[in-house]
This record gives sequence, structure tokens and C-alpha cells, in this order.
Amino acid sequence: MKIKLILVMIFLYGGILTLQAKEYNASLFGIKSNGTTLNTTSIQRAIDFIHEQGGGTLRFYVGRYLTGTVVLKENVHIQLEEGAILVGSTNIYDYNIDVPNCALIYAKDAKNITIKGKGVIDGQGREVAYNLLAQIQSGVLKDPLDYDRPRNRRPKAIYMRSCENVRIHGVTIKNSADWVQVYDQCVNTVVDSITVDSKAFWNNDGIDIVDCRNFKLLNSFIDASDDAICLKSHDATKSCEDVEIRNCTARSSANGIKFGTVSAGGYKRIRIINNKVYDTFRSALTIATPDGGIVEDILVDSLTAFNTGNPFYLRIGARWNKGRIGSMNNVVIQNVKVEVAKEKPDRGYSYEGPIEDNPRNPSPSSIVGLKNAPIRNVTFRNIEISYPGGSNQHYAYRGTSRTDLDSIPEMEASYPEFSQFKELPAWGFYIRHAENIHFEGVVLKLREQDYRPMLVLDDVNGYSLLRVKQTGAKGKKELVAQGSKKIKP
Amino acid sequence: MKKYLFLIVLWASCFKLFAQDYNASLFGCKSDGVTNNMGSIQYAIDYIAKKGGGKLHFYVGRYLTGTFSLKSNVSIELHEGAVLVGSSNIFDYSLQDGKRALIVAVGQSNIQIGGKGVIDGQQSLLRSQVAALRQKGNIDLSEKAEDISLIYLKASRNIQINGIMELNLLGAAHFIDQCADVTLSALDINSPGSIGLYVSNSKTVRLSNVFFQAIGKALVESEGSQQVVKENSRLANGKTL
Amino acid sequence: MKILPIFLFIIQALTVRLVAAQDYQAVDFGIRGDGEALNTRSIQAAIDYITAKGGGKLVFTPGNYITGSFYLKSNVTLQLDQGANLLGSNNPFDYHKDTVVNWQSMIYAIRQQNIGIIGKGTINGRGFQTAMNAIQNVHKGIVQDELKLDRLREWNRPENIYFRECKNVLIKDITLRDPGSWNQTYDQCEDLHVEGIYVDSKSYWNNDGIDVVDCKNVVIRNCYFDAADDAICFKSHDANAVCENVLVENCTARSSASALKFGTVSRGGFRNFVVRNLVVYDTYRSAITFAAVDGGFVENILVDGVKSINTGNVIFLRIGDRWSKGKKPFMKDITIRNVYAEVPANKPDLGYSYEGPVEDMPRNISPASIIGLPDHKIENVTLENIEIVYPGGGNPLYAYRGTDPKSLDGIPEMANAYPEFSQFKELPAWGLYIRHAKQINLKNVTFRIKGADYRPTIVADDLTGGAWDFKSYLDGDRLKDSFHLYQTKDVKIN
Repeated sequence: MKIKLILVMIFLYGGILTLQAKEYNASLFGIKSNGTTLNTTSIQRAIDFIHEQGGGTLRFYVGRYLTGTVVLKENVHIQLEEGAILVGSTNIYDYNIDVPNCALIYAKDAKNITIKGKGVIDGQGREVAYNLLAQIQSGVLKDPLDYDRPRNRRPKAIYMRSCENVRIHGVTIKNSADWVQVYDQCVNTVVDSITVDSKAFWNNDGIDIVDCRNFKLLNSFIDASDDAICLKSHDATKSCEDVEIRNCTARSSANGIKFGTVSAGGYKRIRIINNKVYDTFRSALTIATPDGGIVEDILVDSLTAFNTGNPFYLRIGARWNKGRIGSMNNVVIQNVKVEVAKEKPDRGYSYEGPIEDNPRNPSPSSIVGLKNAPIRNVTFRNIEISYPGGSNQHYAYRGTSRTDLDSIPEMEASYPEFSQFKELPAWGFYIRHAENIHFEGVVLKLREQDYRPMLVLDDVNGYSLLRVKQTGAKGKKELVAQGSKKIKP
Repeated sequence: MKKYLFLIVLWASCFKLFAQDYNASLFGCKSDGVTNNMGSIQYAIDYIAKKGGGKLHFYVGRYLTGTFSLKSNVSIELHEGAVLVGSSNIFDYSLQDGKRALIVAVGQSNIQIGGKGVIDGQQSLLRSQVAALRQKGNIDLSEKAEDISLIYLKASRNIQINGIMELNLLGAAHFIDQCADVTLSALDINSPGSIGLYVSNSKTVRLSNVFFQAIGKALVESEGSQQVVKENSRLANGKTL
Repeated sequence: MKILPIFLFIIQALTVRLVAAQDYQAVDFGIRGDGEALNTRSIQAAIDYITAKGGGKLVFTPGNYITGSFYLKSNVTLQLDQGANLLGSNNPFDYHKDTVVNWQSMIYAIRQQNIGIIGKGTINGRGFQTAMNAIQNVHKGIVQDELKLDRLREWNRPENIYFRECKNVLIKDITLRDPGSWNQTYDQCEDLHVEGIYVDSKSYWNNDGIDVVDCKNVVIRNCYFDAADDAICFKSHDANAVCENVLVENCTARSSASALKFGTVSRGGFRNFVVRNLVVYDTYRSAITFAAVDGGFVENILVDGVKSINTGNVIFLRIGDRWSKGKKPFMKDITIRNVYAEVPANKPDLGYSYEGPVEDMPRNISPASIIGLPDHKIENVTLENIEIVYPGGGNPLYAYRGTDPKSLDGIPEMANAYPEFSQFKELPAWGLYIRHAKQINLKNVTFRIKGADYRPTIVADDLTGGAWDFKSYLDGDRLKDSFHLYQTKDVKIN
């Protein structure tokens, strides 16, 4: 009897063991935490093994785990415990450079994958990029070089394509050689409570959400030398849909939150709620559709931006649109407070944004569509923006006469940035080629005198200004409207 | 018409012969804003000079450096977005004839510095360092430490500086001594309290479309200069120079 | 030999006296320890300032100070406090090649007096990465170098320290790490005092520990060397100069080449050395190598007290004729005494960075060797109170060299080859091999092997004169008459 009991217990215990066996420590696979052993093959073997066993968690405890590209597989979860650092090799040949979008952690067509924990993913991107550049300059690899930097083969930290049910939670991701993390055509993704420090090299976007459906970015801190939180659309037949960005803080030497630049398909039902932007070189929010993408149903609520170069830039362009004209419709921006900097807002950060489009006095928020494609139905509600003013018309000048306004180039084929037109004729808002633009409770503060008026509207078919107020120093006059029609709110 | 075409082709081919292009990164220049690139830049200039001349290209990014010397037939192109950032340490500026400057040319010719880029002299950081050093007594007070020029040209000829935005200098933006045929055009010099231009004992110095912002003194001509031509150059208050 | 005590007295009285003057804080010259700023020019400005003011110390408090090449000048001492790291820039273009010495370095001093580097701080060349970057520059075509063994030539990579023709030099307490080439060279200096330094020099190829070239009046005391290449290395670059009056005392050396070496470049000569209390371990080649292969001489040397553990070879004395240009080399009056040595069966430097290369195979364990040339014999060498333990186990099926005249004559002279203990591949003895020598004395010398070896303990070929008092054991059992003499006369064997 006793023996039977013991047998049963052993059996039970064994059962528990097999249940728990879904957790695997990295050391089981000979993965070494010394920071010098290249673990690529052993980590890959671990992932493959866990995948073959039907899934489980691969756990890294405190230590430095050097690796090249590893490919995540279905039902494999990476747990980086506090103090564990996944360190990217500085040797470019340790990455999957033979595929487009090479990355330290790569996944394609995989379901149910997770990276979580308080650990760190460090791409050592500056060294990787310079080593890649040296290989190009020695003639071993071919690359046309953009702006004296490698165009291709710069590894990202994370690239996931066509994946389902991805969870990224708690980790710190830093020092990539290119965009930090890209989720491309993924469905049901949650990125929560991550920290991104992405100032190691050029093009260091913080997070790129490309043509994803049901994507949540929550409670995260993102500091990037290029756009911090970036929605893109690479595929004209796809789009970003049902994306929620909530409770995040962004710092950028480009834009804080950006739609585009590549915007082939478009963006639908995007909710950007309760976020902060600071020390950001360009715009707190840029929505750009220069490549034929359709932008509709966008809600930006409770955005605070301080020490930023520009508040808002909404733009339709015609760059790589291949005959299709993009559109922007139903954008609500509400409960926003922005302070625009006089000095360079990202001074002192690594990879500061470039000084360009000069001569130019401080630029206004801009909403610029195309003649045949106006931006439609935009509402600004409960907005407070402080501008530096202090422009010098001898340095750069744009008047408000018809000739002056018409002299502003359309630049539909150019890369869209708030500064692209150089000097603009307003200090607060410049709106051109738009329809149904509503201002409701908008307070614009000017800190130093400006030779320009607060608002300039040009070809705006329907606008309403309700409780719009200017405070602070004097501008020339409040409003100049050319070829525009006022309507009731 | 054909004759002109021929001339253009001839001109183009000459240009091609002389203007070999080199990227700054080839010489290990880093645009991170923290790596001091003076060793790489100087090597690049010496190398290009040895190869018979050409142009060193800086693309968008911040390139920290101390003093470097120009050589004949080596030009520098600062593309839009490229910033040449002067070191914030005075000792990174070498002494030349008792003067310190970021970019120095002595006895050189045929040089262009062009592009829509920026040269940033980091005035305030340098000034506070110099003040601190003074307090310690580690630099001689007789030395005019504040006189760090951006570009010091001496006994050089056929120099063109075009398009650059020049910011935050401690001394004169351009110190031109015993030179001939110097053209400064389309410059935007923005530097609170410093001197825009100092010319002495030089022949044919042309200024066109130069905008002096927040400058203490736009132009100082010392004795012995001939033919200083000013076209369409303005001060911050809109007055013509 | 009588001259030794006299010069020893002189050299022990020698203490480098530096002008005690004002202290200057590096930070007051804008020198930044932030690990980011390049301090080359501000360090130089500080040195120039201090030397102009009559001298003093430039003090580096804890921090990481990045720099390229600069020059130390008369009456200036660098003081690196504990935690202060002078770090070499990783940009090869931040270094230059001095035109006097024709070699790259981080810290130069050329024809200066009363200079020093002291303190418990570190000089770290970070040479591996700099060397990698330099190779890239060669591959890009913007730097010319022939790339010997796929590496830049050693003079095109920066050392940590290169002093030339300096007088009154003090190097004390500092740690020297990871140069791109040799670590520290003192070339034609006088009154050089190196004391209490710690050298970790195995980041890259040619990483010697210390190179003393044609110097006069040198003390190296209480130092620790761990080097990928030779650890304590004396050289003679100039045929008209000599390395002389040298005391090496209480030092420990580890090397993936030789621990204590004269040469390889040996044009002038080496004279009046005392080496006392030397500990050698985990060393790939010889504990002691004296090479006179470039026309130079070796004369009047006393090595007293060596413990050599896990080291591939104990003693290698060699005259060669490599770059002699007609100059006649000689080697004489050498005493090596009070030595205990263990030679391992396996590679002694296994697992160290930049392990020594496996070469000259097949070869059983090599003996200590004293090998001159037919016309240039090594003379008057005394080995006294020495015990060497070998692994034995020499297998004739693996490598074989017999003691018959044909076999012995078959050993090549290799006069113009690079001198290493292994260069002749298999040698016919397991304990000691002597060729082309005069007056070799063994006093109380014990050889031991742990396993049987097909070779005798000692083989002498072309030796004239000497008195031998030695014992030889296999695992505790005395091996009798375990020697072979060939073309040898006047040797008295007890």
C-alpha cells in the first residue's frame, strides 16, 4: 500500500515536472553569460528545441549574452530577467544580412511569441554600423551609401513580420544600428512598459508600427534620434488599423509621434491617448501621407509637449504615390498643451537633428494638403500652444500678400517636414488646401514679438474659429485668410 | 553655340580631373557629435592633397573637431545638415602666429569651403572654460584667448567660402591677413558679440550676400587692404553693410 | 667577472631624482576624464606649460582620459592616481609616427631629462581595437602598410610609451595595459629606473612587456610582467651602442614568448647585467634567452635566483649571424645560478590571450641549449646550483635525432634564422645541448625526467674545456653516464 502511494506520488511529481519543463534556463543549452562567447547558434538551438517541444520560455538570468541574429519561432517566449543583457555582436557577418530587414531578433510568420522581463537588448549599433561601413569601404560589401552611411544591411534590434499575438513587455531596447524595432503586418500585438534608448546611430526610430492591425503600445518610454513613435505603411494594399498608443513618453531628434514617411496604404482608427513629448527637434505630431495612403479617423487626446521644435504638421504630398492621391479625413486633436522652444530643443543629445531649411524664423503648426486633395475635417479642441516668436524679417521674410502666399512652393514631391517650406507667413498656424477645419477653444501664446500674423489660411474651404485667443507679445494681426470660406462650427 | 558647348564640356572634364570626391567617413570621421575628429580630418586633407587635390564631403551629422589646416586644392563641402562643431576645449585650437582658429590656411591656394552646412564655434562653452582657466592661472593673461577665429587665412589666395551658416564664435568669424582673391558669399554669420570679419593687408576680398546676425562688429578693415568689395550684405537690423 | 660587484654597487646607489616642484591638476587644463573627450592637445598644452614654468607634476585624478600621441618634456612627471586611466584613442589617425624614432606611440619623450610617470593609475593603449581600425584603413587603401602576417608592421601601431635619449627617467607604480605594439620602449636612455609597475600586455601581436634598447644604468625592480610577446626584453638596435649596467631584481614574468630576453635585434651588445630573484611561469618559450645574432656581444652577465614554473624551456644561449654585416659577435662570461625550473609536457600558455604559435614540429620536449657558431663560440658559461625537471617521454617514432656523427652533423647551423629554442626541431638530448662552445662549467646541476626519454641527458658537440658536476634522474633513479660527447675535449666530468 505504502509502495503504491509512493509510486503515485512519484508519478504526480513527475507530472508536475513535465508541466514546469516549459521553462528552460539559457545555461541548459550552453548559452554563456560572459559577454565574449558568441551564443548565436546555441540560442538558436534553444529556440528551435523549445519550438519543437511545443513551446515554452527561454530564461536568461543576469549576465551579458553576446549573440548575432536569432530567429524566434512559434510559441517561444524569451524571458530576460533583471540584469540579463542580450548583446548584439559588433561583427556584421553575425547578422542575417542576406535578407532585407536583418535584425538581432528576427521573426516571420510566427504566432504567440513574447519578449519580456526587466532585461536589456543592446544592439551595439554604432560599432556594428561603423564595422559595416569599413567592410563597404574596403570593397568587400557593396552599398551605395546614403549621406555617407550604409543604406542596406544595418541590423535592427527586433524585426517581426506577419506575426500574430506578439507580446513585448518590460524590456529595455537600446543602441540599434538602424530602426530599433519594427512590427510589420503583425496582428494582435501588445508592446507594454518598454524603455527604448535609441540614439546610437542614424535612422534610429524608437518603434515602427507598419501595416499592423490591433496594435497596442502602452506605458512606454521612448528616446530616439529619429522618429520616436512611428506608424508606417509600406504596402499599398495594407494599412495600420486599430492602433492604440497610450500613456507613452517620447523624446526625439526628429518627430515625437509620426505617421509616415512611407505611407503607401494608410492609417485607420488610430487612437493616441495621454502621451508626452519633450526635447524633440521637429514636430510633436506629424501626420504625413506623401505616398498615396489614406488617413482617416484619427484621435489625438491629452497630448503634452514641451521643449519641442514644432507642434503639429499635417501633410498630404505626392512623392511615391504612383498616381494614387493620398487623403486625410476626420482628425480630432484635443486637450493638448505644447510649448515650442526658441533654442534647439535637442541640443546635447547624441545624433542631434540637423540644422536645415534655413534661413527660417520659428515655424508655425501647419496643415498643408494639395490643391486637388485638401485635408478634410480636422478639429482642434481645447488647445494651448506657446510659441517663441522673435522673428527677424531681415533674416527671412514671407509676407501675406497674394503674391507672397502664392510664392510658397507646393513641394508635393519632397520629403515632408514642418520646415520644408523654409519661412512661412504665420507664427501660429499655417493652413493651405484644406476643408472643414475647426478651432474650438484654442489659445496661442507668443513670447516675443513677431512680424507675422497668428493664423494664415490659404485655400481653406470652410473653417470655423470658436474661442480662439492670442496672448503674450504682439503679432501683426490675428488672421489672414485668402481664398477661404468661413462656416459655422 | 557649339563653341560654348565645347567650352562647357572642356570645363566639365577639367573639373572631373581635379575634383576627386572623398567622403569623411572613409577616414573614420564620426558624426556622433562626441568623437573628436581632428586626427581624421587632418589625415584626410593631407591625403587628398597628396593625391593631387579634391573635395572632402561631410553629410548630415555633427562632426566635432579641433584645429585643422587646409591644404592647396583641397576643398570642403558641408552638405545641408552637416555641422562642423568646434571643440569646447581651448587647447584643441592650436596656436598659429600666436592666434588660435578652428580652420587654418597659411600659404595655401585654390580652396573652397561650401555647402549649406553649419560651423558651430560653441562660444558659451569655450568662454566659460577660458574663464575657469584664467582663474587657475594656467594660461597667460597676455594671450588673447578669446580670439579664436573660425577661419584664419594667411598669405593664401583664391579662397572661396560659400553658403555656410556660422554660429557662436568666440573671435572673428574670418580673420584674413595678407591674402588675395578671397570670396565670401551667401554666409549667415550669427554670433552674439563677436567680430564678423577682420581683413588686413589683403587684396581683393569680396563679400556678397553675407548676413551678419547678433554680431558685435561686422567688418574690421585694418590698414593695407585694397579692394574690399561689399555687395548686398546686411546686418540684423536690415541695414546694408 | 670581478667587475660585477663594483658596478652593482654603483647601480644600487642610483636613484632617479626628479625635481620636486609644483603639482598641477590635469583638470585645470581642461583635460577631461569623461571617457569621451580627446585630450591629446590639452595634455600637450599642460606639459608645455609645466616645463616652461620649470617643471612639476601633472596630476590625473580618477577618470578615463582619452588621448592620442603627446610628448613628455624635461622636468615634467605624469602622476596617475589610482583610478586614473590614460586611454589610447581608437582612431589610428590620432597617433603620429615620431620622425626621430620612426615608430608610433601614445607617450613620447625625445631627448628630455628628469621625466617620469608615476602613481597607481593605468595607461591602457586599447591597442587591439586601434589595430583593427588601422587594418581597415589599409584595406580601404588610405594607409600604406605591407601587412606582415596579416597585421600592420609593429612601427605602424602605437606603443604606450616610447622614450629616446632621455636622462633620469622614473617609471613607478603604474599599470601598463594593452598596447597596439610593444608596450614601452626606452631607447638609448641613461639612468632609467622602473619600479613596482604592473604590465598586462597581451591584447595584440608583438605585445612585449618592456623593451630596454641600448640603455645605460638601468634598474628594473619589483615589477610584474604578463606579455603576449617577450616579457622583459633587452635589445640593441645600434651597432655602436650597448645595453649596459643593468639590474633586474625581484621581478615576475609571464610570456607567450620568452620571459627574459636579450635580442632579437642585437647589433651593439649587452654588458654588465645582474638579474636577481626572477620568477617565471606559464611561459611558452624560454625563461632566459640570450641571443647575439646581429653582430652584437653578450658579456659579463650574472643571473642569480630563478624560479621557472610551467615554462617551455629554461635556458637558450645563441650566437647567430643574421644581420651582422660583417661584425663579429661574441658571448662570454655568463653565470646562471640558483635556478629551479619545471618544464611541462603540455603547452604552458594554453588559454592566454595571444598564445604563442605552435611551430617547429614534430619535436619532443627541447633541452636547454647553448649553441654558438663554428667560428663564434660561446665562452665561459657557468651553470651552478640548478635543478631542471622535465616531463621526459621523448618518443623516437614521433621525432628522432640520434647521437651518431651523421645525426649530430645533420643538425643545421641555421646561422641566419630567427633564434628560438625550438628552431632546430628535434635535438639529441633532453636536458642540455651544447654546440660550438668553450669552457662550459656545470656545478651541482640536477636534471630530472618523469618518464623515460630515448635521448641522453646532455649532448656536447664541438666543446672545448669545462668542468661538469651534474646528476641526472629518471623518476628518482640516478641515470649514470647519461651524456654524449662529440668533437669535444678537455671536459672534466665528476
